[in-house]
Amino acid sequence: MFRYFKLYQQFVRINWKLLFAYRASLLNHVVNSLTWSGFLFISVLLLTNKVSSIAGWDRNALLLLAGMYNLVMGIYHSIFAKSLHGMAEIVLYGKLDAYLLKPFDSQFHLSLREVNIPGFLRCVIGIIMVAVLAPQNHIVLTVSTLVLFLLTLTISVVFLYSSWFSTLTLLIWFPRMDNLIDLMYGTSGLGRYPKEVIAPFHGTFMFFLLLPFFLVVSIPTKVLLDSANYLEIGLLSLLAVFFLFFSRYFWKFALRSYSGGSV
Amino acid sequence: MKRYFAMFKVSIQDVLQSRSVEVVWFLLSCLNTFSILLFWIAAINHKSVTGSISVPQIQLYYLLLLFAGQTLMSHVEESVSRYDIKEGGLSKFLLRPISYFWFRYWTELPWRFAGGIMSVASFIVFSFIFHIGLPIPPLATVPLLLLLLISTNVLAFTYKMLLSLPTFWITDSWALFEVMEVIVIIMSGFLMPLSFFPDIMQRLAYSLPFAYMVFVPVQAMLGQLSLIQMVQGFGMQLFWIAVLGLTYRFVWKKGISLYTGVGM
Repeated sequence: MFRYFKLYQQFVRINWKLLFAYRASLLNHVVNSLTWSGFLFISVLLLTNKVSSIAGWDRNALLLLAGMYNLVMGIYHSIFAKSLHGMAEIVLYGKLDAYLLKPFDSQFHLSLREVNIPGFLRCVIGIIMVAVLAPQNHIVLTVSTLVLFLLTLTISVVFLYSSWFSTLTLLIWFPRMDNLIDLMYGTSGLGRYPKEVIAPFHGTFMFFLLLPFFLVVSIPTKVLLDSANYLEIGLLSLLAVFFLFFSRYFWKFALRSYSGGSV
Repeated sequence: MKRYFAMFKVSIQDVLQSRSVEVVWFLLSCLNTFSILLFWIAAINHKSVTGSISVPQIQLYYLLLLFAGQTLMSHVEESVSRYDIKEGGLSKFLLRPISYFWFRYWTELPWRFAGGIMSVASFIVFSFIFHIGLPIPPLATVPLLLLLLISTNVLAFTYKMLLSLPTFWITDSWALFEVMEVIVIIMSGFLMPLSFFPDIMQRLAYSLPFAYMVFVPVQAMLGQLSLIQMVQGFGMQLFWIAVLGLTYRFVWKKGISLYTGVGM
């Protein structure tokens, strides 16, 4: 365990150096974070220009949800998304061999080797949005709320990671489907909306497939708003744990079908 | 023309070979469109929308938006910018007796057709499930509507080609693409119909080319534009094609003088 911690420290150190070696790339990442954070803010303002509220979510609550989306996605994109982004190319061009031959876990290496340090800017924007909107949403932060909030935030990030990794494991069989990553970005984008919008699909396969992605942001937001539904928290926790184990098993299973491109 | 048609046919083979990739792009497009649609349906069902809009109207708008996004909108910028300009793939095109612009246009078309077929199929399925009827435009407006749709595709393509050219100077232009994508999502009517915007935003949207790439053609397909408004829309499209096309030529000439073939 300690060995992996030291390894992750090295990944962070390398990424930190790369950050300043390629300053234009740093600028690109900063612009990207600002753009999507700004888009969320503007889109909520525009949508609520015509819509007063949705199932109890008024403009302030929807802006809070947007802030929380920035925070959750900021954490997720900074830690995992950049590494997973390159997975298609690694599998397609047979570079996976190099990962499998290293004396440490291939899933760990593939998932954490690239840290998107500028992505944390999005977390900062999210925290600022939540802090500014807290008084309008009558948020009272107690120790228990804070603990539950951090716990649900962690569960959400774990669920996102495990669902992304499980899906991207399909690349072992379909290496040309490099746009699976875009599909996962799109699916995670559902978190921008309150989960109540999916009500028309209630009871259908689509409902059960997409519901967790609506929950990843709305659950931590509801914890802050003191309107958390413990059944939903339990459901997301179960799914996060299930997918975490499933992603591990599925990856090991998929590797049996990997033929290697550079051998 | 014959050689471009040959490239078009080769590109059809490429699309047929990459069926699963095209299906994933289509699913992504559905996901983005329907998530906003669900927001509007929830808002209408909770009676919290100001103004008169019904669920079938908004469903029809977003289904046609899906069609426009898949069929009329071009997605060529990534290939031009990354594979051709940044990684040096452009070199082989410079040596061929063809126009790079039109090569890209004709090889992009089969992808649009594939997207069009899938969006029409999904339109039929959804209209059957949700009992949505497609408004039939008056016969006299059909030729103009077709012209409008073709020029939409040319306008969107010209814009995306122009968008790829800054790569000659900045090499890595994905952040620029992201910024422009956000602007297009808002200003073209992908986020919400432009008629829902505040006045000042509406005026701004109509003074940019993006509204003529998505919102105006969708309104025309919905039958909400009179013949005169359609002519005006078509005129604006031609104006923007000329402006963006001339800018493209100018920037291309400047950029190509800076281009360095990589990996040769």
